Amino acid sequence: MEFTIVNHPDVVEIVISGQFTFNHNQKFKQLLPLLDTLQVRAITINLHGVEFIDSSGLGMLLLLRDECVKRDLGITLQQAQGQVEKILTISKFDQIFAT
Amino acid sequence: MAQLQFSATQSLDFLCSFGNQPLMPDFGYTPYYFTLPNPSLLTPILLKSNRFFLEIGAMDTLEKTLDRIFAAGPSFALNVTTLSAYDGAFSDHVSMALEQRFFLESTLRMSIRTCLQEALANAIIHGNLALESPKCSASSFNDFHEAITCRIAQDHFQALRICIMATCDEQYFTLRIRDQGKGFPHHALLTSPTPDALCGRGLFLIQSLANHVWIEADNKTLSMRFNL
Repeated sequence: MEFTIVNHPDVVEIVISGQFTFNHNQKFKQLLPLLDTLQVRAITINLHGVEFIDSSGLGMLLLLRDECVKRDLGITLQQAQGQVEKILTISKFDQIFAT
Repeated sequence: MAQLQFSATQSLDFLCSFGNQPLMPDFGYTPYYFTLPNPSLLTPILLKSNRFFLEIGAMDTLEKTLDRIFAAGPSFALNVTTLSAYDGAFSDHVSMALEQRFFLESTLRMSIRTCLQEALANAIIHGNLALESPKCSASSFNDFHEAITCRIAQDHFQALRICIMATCDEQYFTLRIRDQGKGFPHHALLTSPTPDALCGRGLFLIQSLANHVWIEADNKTLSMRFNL
């Protein structure tokens, strides 16, 4: 899993790529401190480059969401495709995240 | 050393090692034996016509190796160490091989790969590493992943086995994953997580994607059947 940060005027876009599975928790944890450095009120998680996600990856997204809520940051998931889109749908993430 | 006789149905055709391993034991004939520098080279090996593929682990003895050979049934089986199964792309390599080996439609591959990944994660984390699901809080979630990292670094846990078995006929493709843990908890297939639960949705995803899911009588084998 890799991620890059793209700054937009009102929102920070976090572009995630690769696989997002239980092996990638250490990498994921690098994202969390970044939330305290943001000067915007919302972030977007761009999942276009994520080719595969498992239930641990879903848990990490939810953890990220919880951390955003604590900081009064809005969070949306966008551009999921293929297996990722299907798994998010099965897991009813549309009830939890804005898209 | 006693001479061992193998029947045709019990023949071991491949011994496959992922690293520097001890010398292959003398079976009285020469099965294929080779070393893969890393598991990414596994897929073309699994496409061979042979039935049983056995990884020789770093802590294996002759007796352990032979026990695993005799335990192989008539269907496709891949028996690996927990350390090898923990590799991030392992489920991808194996599902790619299964798709090609059994001529499965690519539309089914996504479901099979996801189910294989979830079943392997369960077998590794809850089975062989003997870690219970964390309470669903951020700190427990982090502690849980720290515990995984700690246990997978230990020789004893690395050497425990996971067996992936597959059969295919005209109607169904069946995938089974067996580990060496203490077994599934009661009612494991009956739990259903809330959408905002940080954990505990692996079996839920499997049951959503496979047509039939059950736990075998040994309580350590998860079986998943897909309609063709």
